[in-house]
Amino acid sequence: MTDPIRIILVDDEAPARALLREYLESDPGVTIVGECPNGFEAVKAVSQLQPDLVLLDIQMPKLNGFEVLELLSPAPAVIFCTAHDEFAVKAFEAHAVDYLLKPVGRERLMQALGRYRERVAVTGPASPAEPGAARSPDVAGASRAALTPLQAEELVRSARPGGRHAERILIRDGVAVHVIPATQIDYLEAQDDYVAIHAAGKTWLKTTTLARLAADLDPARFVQIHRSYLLNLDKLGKVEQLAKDSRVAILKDGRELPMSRSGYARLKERF
Amino acid sequence: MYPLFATPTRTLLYVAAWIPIALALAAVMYLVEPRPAWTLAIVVGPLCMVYASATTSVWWILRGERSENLLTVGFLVRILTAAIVTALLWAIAANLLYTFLDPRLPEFIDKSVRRKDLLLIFVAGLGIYWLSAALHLAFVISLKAVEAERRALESQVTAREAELKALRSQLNPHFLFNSLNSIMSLVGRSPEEARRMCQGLGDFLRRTLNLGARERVSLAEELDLVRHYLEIEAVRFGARLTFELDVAIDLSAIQVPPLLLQPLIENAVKHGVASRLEGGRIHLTARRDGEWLHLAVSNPTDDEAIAAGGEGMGLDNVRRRLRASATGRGTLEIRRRPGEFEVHLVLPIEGMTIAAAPQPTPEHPAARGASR
Repeated sequence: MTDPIRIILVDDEAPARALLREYLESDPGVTIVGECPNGFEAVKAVSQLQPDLVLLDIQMPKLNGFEVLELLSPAPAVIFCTAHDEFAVKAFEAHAVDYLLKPVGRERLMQALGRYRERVAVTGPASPAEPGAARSPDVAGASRAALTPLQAEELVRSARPGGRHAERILIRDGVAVHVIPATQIDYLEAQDDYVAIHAAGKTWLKTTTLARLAADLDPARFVQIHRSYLLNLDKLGKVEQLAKDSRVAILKDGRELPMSRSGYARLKERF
Repeated sequence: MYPLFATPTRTLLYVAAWIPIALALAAVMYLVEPRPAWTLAIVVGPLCMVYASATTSVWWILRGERSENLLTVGFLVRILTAAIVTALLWAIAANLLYTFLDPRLPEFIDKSVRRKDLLLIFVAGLGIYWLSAALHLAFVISLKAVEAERRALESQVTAREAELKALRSQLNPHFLFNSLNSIMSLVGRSPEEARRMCQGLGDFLRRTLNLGARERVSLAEELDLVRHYLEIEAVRFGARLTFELDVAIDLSAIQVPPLLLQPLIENAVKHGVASRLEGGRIHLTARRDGEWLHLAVSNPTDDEAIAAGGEGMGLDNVRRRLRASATGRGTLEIRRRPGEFEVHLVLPIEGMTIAAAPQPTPEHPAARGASR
């Protein structure tokens, strides 16, 4: 007998979680290791408990299901469970195990579990049996039951209404999640595999690239003034010329950032 | 496009209409000075062809004019001037024709007859131009009337469509899906509660359909619907959703457009409860201030949250319906305070009130009859 599938249920509505629990409890090959009423707790629970599979609602307060996945790297195997059918195509493209529509029937859930078992039989589970074992982010993903961070980001983007820009950046710090509104950001700084986010007197690190964040944030507000710096225009005090073709951006709080020639050209286009 | 030449049939008719005009002109010229028919034909024929196209120019003058300027003195003076100029040009063209024909034909017509002919042609030109102007004017006026009627009809259709769309969108499918999911969940643990919820949902749907089919409903009915809705949502959200309906007026006499309040409540649940970890309390107040009904729906907001899709379809629909309503005097105002969102709806009570049924005052039935 194989180990039971360790599952976490994430839904902000208690009756919806109760329904899934009732269905799952009749299957001896499954154990429910956690139940979360919102995205923050889901990030925490999934990082700590390393489940095999997450049943995830999409529309939730603060963090939606896609944002939860983006914060979990590598993401676990996921079965979405929602009343909204409009994200289904994107979810499958991102290799979600299944996409259940509410109201959820017992057979349909069991069928989804069957899909998960099939996939694991072919490619192996998303997370190793023993929590904490080293996992390479580039192997987890398409070839396995789980989503890659890029796919998760793509989902987050697709769920944003009408091609709107990101109005906040989400950062996972251990099991905690920080939400940084775009308006509070001073500037972003590329650092090796990270981007340092300077906001409200603090600095946060996020594993991503400056180019990806630049594509997500509103270009009317953020200008790339240098290969490694993306500046919030609202925070810019003045630009000072040091020599021909050498300038620095001086923020309203006095901090100075290097500015490249092409960065200065991009800035000038705005005015 | 000039309408007379829009189809071959119309063009032929126009040409045919000119045959009696040409014959009449020739006859008058013959009476002034008898002469062989062929000399009349070679003059009147080409001249009438030219003038038949020249008189259509009045169309362009009329077409460009706004309907309220037609028949003003300034406009008539302009038509008069155009007539004189056109007729004069026609007479000049006739003179050129005579000058061209004269040396080529033996014993054509002498100088004195030519002068008389030219005067006659000028006067006829004026008359024909005015006739043409009058006919065109009648045509343009009727055309503009038809256009105005079509526009009015179109805007009526648009208003009705907006109304229907608004009503259709009242039945939010996701609300149904989530409610059914809640019921499925209750069936296992608490069948009695599941039955109650099925009944509540059934009641809500029936009321929505009934109210939506009517033009006016009483505020009491609308508030009943809201209460049903909130009770269903309370099952789904549990302790996260609380609400208070604070109504300090006699509702039965006040009539409102149906399903105007419901989307505001739905919006409040979406932003004040569903998007907040801790949920929230929805507050509805109804007050009467003279001839105005004030309805306010408020909900707590998460100031960090990103408004998904702006203020929501619901509010847009309510605004559109207020604009399209018969009086157009209702207003919807959004008040944002830190941590709170309030929608303030003001509706005129007059015109939305039907007389309290048992005691109709004498002027009421008359007033209502007149407004139909």
